[in-house]
Amino acid sequence: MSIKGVLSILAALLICCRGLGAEGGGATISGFVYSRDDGEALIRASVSMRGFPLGAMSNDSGYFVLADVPAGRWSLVASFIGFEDVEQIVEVAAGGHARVDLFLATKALQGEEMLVREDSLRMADRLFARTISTVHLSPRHIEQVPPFAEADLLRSLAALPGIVPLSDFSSALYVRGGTPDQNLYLIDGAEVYNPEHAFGLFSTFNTDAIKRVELSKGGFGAEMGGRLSSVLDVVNVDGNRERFQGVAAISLLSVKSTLQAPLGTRGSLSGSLRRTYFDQTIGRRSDDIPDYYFYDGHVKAFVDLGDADKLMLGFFGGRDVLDVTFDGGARDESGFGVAWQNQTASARYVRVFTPRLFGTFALTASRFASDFAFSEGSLEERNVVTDATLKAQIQYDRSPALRVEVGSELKRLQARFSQDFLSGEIDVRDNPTQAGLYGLLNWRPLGGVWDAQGGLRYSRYRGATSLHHIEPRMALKYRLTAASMVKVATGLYHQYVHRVPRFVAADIWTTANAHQGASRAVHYIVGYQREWHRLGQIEVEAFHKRYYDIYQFNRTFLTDVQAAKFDQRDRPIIASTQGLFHPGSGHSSGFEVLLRKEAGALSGWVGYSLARTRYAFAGINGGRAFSPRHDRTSTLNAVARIDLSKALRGGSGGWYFGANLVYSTGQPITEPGSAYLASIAPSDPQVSVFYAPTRINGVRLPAYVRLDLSLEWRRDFASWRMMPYLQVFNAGNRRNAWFVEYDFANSQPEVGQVGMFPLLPTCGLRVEF
Amino acid sequence: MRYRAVAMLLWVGLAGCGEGRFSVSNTSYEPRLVIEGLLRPGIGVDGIRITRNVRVDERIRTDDLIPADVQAHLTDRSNGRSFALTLRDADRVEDRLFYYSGSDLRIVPGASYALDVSASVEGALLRAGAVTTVPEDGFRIAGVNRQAMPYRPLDERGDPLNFALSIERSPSSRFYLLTLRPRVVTSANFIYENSFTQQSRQDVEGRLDDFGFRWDWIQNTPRGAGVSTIEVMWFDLWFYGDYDVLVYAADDNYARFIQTHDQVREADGNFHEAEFAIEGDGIGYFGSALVDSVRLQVQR
Repeated sequence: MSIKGVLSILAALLICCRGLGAEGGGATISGFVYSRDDGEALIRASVSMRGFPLGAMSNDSGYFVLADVPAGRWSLVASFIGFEDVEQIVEVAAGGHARVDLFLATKALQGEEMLVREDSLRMADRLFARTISTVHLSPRHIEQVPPFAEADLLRSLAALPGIVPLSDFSSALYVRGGTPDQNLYLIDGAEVYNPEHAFGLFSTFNTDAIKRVELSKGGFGAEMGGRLSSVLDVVNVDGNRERFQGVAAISLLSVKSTLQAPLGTRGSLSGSLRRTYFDQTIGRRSDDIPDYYFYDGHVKAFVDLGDADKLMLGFFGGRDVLDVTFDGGARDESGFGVAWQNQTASARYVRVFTPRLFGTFALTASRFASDFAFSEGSLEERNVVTDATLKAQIQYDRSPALRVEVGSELKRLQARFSQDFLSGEIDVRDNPTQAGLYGLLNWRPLGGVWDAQGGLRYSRYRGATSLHHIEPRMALKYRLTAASMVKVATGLYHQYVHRVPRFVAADIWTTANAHQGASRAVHYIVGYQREWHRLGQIEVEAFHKRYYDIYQFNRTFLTDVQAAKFDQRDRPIIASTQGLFHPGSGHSSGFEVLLRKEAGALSGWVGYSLARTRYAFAGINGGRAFSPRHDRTSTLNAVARIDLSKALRGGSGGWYFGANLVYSTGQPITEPGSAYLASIAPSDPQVSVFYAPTRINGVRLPAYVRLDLSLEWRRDFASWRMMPYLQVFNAGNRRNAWFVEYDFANSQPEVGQVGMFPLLPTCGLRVEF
Repeated sequence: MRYRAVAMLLWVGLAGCGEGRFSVSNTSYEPRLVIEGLLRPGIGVDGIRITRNVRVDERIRTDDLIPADVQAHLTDRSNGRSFALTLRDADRVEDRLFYYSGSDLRIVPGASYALDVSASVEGALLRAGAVTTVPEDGFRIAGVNRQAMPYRPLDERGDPLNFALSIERSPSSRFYLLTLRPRVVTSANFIYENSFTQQSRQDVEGRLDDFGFRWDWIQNTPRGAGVSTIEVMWFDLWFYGDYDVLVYAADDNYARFIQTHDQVREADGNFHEAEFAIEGDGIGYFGSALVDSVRLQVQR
């Protein structure tokens, strides 16, 4: 699909909008739901009519629409978690329209943003509104998990069932057996390719700047494409439209601040900045600590252009810099430097064409770049991924029971990896175009027992190879009782980018070509959810996911790469990804249980997952299926936050205690199998010990267990709040195994295990004003 | 309820302590014949080492490394003649090599040879075999940018200057291994003023073998005859004095071994397979190469 084609479709959508808007009978009530405190639009807020079985959820822009409302005087009730319900009388004539913007105030109780009052919208209704396998997190939820040095979004998500990290040293997420490259990371709608700082220790998302997080662990709708496993959609704060507001925090790792302010009377502005500082403190005093730092920040402006038009402009950027100098002697020093950065920009325009017709148009850009250079110029590397994406989505509420969404997406991708070393050169580049066109029908018959969504996505990829696919998606929800429901979802997904994972330097992305085509996955999910004591929830989900044509990095690629041409010195120039990956297939199956309590003195969740993932690749394990390193049979997570003042004295605020317990079956690893003695060449004067692994990931490490604790104290002043905290990562100082070392000394075997992080206490201070 | 809560807290506390102990299961162990054989034209079949592999949690008993009943045959595929190899006895197991003593077997560039080995290991009869085609003639070290130079001199841009060997390629080899062996390996001629690490004389004396042999390669050179350059990297030089530099124009079997045999460990500690071009129950290499050498000197 060409740019012209997509623009034609966008134009057609706009024309259709005008036509569609004239349709539909009955009156319409529509508007936006906002926070009264800061003017932020509230996403997924519930709006219902007292005494009439009609309700709606606000969309990603906070817009809601109640269609086919009988004429008369109605009482609208809006609810949102952590906010007081608001009730507003509205009168609407037959066939008419009433525009109502609803403003909800946060709970007056200190630190109780998560509290849900008895008269709030029932948990069951909120559960029913949520798509299967979807998790919504607010900054409060993220901070509920005792962090490692710094509150981190990805590490918090790893405390949910079905999501595991690979080790303490990585925040990359493995969602339901999928690998991190199969996750689509969005920040204000722009894709982030390598969302990790510090070699994966922390994510690029500053939790203080986050307004809302939505993670789909699978079965996502036709509006999302390009990835096989999950979608993480992060929305940064729009900004406070009422007053100046700020947060400043210092931890042992970083200092950061997020500021928000009104932009005139019709908009808001927010910005954040975070920087690590140990390079300026202990790094200056110790030569043993590499010179490393990262910073990131965002700026976002939100403007009401009119009652029906809103514009958001956002920018996000982050950069990591590492300089390593080897321990030099009298001679000049050697070392290497590596720097990598993410930048995204997004412009999003929303328009209410008619009360029932809502359009979202976005232009986003994303750039990831990394540079590596060994001193004296013997090795230089550059890795760049950029994309520019144009998106349009039209939402039309034909009736209370039927919503239609259509949209299109055009992405221009540029991926380049170049490496210049003494004996050759790598220069792999491609500039493919990826286009998507999708339609969704959401049918919710009155009575609210059923909710069915069917979608179809057409994806087209044109680069070094041309591909196109039709991807059907389907989701069904059925309410068993007032408090319980079942949900099912299935879908077909394609991915056109592949990744070479690396431990120190940033991962390398490659695009589909003649050597690696599109990867494919099919999801089957069934779930049961019920309200638990009105304010809690129980979720049980089972999933099965099949992967086809997935690609695993070929660790012995040196034997397979081919030179495309040669330079004037007859050095090879490698210009393709031939031999870089093993093609294969696989499947993941699992069963997850989540008990979650969001209110009261004790809040948190307990999650358990039983899962199994198997991959099979030509060229690995003799082609036999094996469990990948991220496969865990059982994982148990228990996250608790206790308001000690409330628990002990019945009051609220003051001391908070947090705990996070993780138990998981040990990771599969490959035993060397056997050792042998050999010399490299006839000129080698000695024989050395080498290993000959034959069975991949045939054994498992011991179980992983970790307990993290945190203690926070809050003190409120007239216009500001102070929160010093103490956190202990791995409080039991358990020596969890990372991998196993094998060696021989004087022919005697030496087998030792290398552990992950020991007990690590950290502290910090957070100030809100 | 209170007791249950206390019990739960105790369990949580205890569960988060201690150590998960890994023990080697040896379930991945499979007996293998280890073959190290590199045929070189002009040199008779003189140094094929055939041993067995060992478990990773057991002491290496060198006396048991060579199976007692090894049968090894080399076949010249140009005429189909097969030659039985004989084990040469020696004090050190490293020196106990299989050889062919007759004069009717010549290793010729461009010709193919097959090795077939069988032996009993732990009660099982193992068989392994491989075929190598010797690279075609034409390879030689054509020249060196300089025969001697100080350690890590800098050029006009401030980059270190390396020894650079010009090689005339074998038309059929695309992989060239360079090995570097100092003639004198002592703590007295060790280069302490290197830019990587500060080592004391005492440290070096305990680790001389670690520095005494270095190797590097170039690969994916153009097909056909021509000239390529292979550099002796300054960071492979650890001693002042003379070096024997050998360059092997290797066949694909040997190249695969060199490229993968010691790269089986990933950055996160996990292992993966190497690529051995040996059929059956064998690991290691049976390959061929053309060899040339040059002497270089690192001056104080």
